[in-house]
Amino acid sequence: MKSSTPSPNEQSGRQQSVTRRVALTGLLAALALIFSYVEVLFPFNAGVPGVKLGLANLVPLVLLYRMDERYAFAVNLIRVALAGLLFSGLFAALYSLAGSCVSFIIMLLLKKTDKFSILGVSMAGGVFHNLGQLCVAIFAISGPQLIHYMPVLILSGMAAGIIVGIGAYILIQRLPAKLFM
Amino acid sequence: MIASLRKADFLLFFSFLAIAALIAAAPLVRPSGDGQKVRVIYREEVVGIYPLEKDIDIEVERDGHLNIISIQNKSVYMKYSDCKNQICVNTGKISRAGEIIVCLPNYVIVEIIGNGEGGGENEVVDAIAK
Repeated sequence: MKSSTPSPNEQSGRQQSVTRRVALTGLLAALALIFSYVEVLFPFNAGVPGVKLGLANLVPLVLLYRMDERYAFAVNLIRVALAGLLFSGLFAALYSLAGSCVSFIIMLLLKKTDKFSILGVSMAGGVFHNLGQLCVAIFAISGPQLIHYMPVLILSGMAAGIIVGIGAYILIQRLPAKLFM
Repeated sequence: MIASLRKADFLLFFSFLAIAALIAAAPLVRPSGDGQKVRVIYREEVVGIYPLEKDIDIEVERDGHLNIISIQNKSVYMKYSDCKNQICVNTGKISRAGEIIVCLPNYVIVEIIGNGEGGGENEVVDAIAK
């Protein structure tokens, strides 16, 4: 007979899984932060200043596909907050936060539709990261004229998103599945 | 990897391209008639509105940052900016209504407005301009 109350064994198992989740999230956030740091050390410039590759998006993207969205979201949030405060200051952190939240929600939605490959999801993520930041900029300096920046931001977001998407695709193929248990 | 691409990916790709192209092309459709004005904005403050016909250099010095906007031969460009990324300087010349030069780091916006727009109250050559 199976009792309705969890046995001590199950309880400790659940406890273990919570601990495990916290530890894993911390580790992955640290990994994502390192990606951010690498990008600060070696800024990738494609001729257009201010345009970034967004290497750190690799981590939440892979997590989105290999674990679940809760890890990806938590890791992303921690990474953005820390990287913002460490490397670019409070105000720029707000921009990043807006961008990455919008980007993450779009990526999650597109992935849930199951109609897009990881490249499409990543591309949309890149574009909406930039558009999210643009929205904050429009409010911050209250200039709807900034909309003229949009083509550049869309194109650079597409390029960055596709490159990161290719990276994530390769990573998902190569990393052992056991890693994400 | 190519095999993993789906129809929706391509749709998304081309719709992004189309949107970018549309927005980029929008100002080109506007006529470049006479009587256009140049509006210079710092944050929410209108620094001044200047006629496009008259050659002039406008210095905008706010918060310890300097931008020099130059109107020459019915077009406007950012002659100098002390900002880090120099996007505004690299934007080059603009001459049609709706076109814009933005210097995000210094909060300076230069835009061309049609003859009907803008109103008259700010239409004085600012004291900073020379």
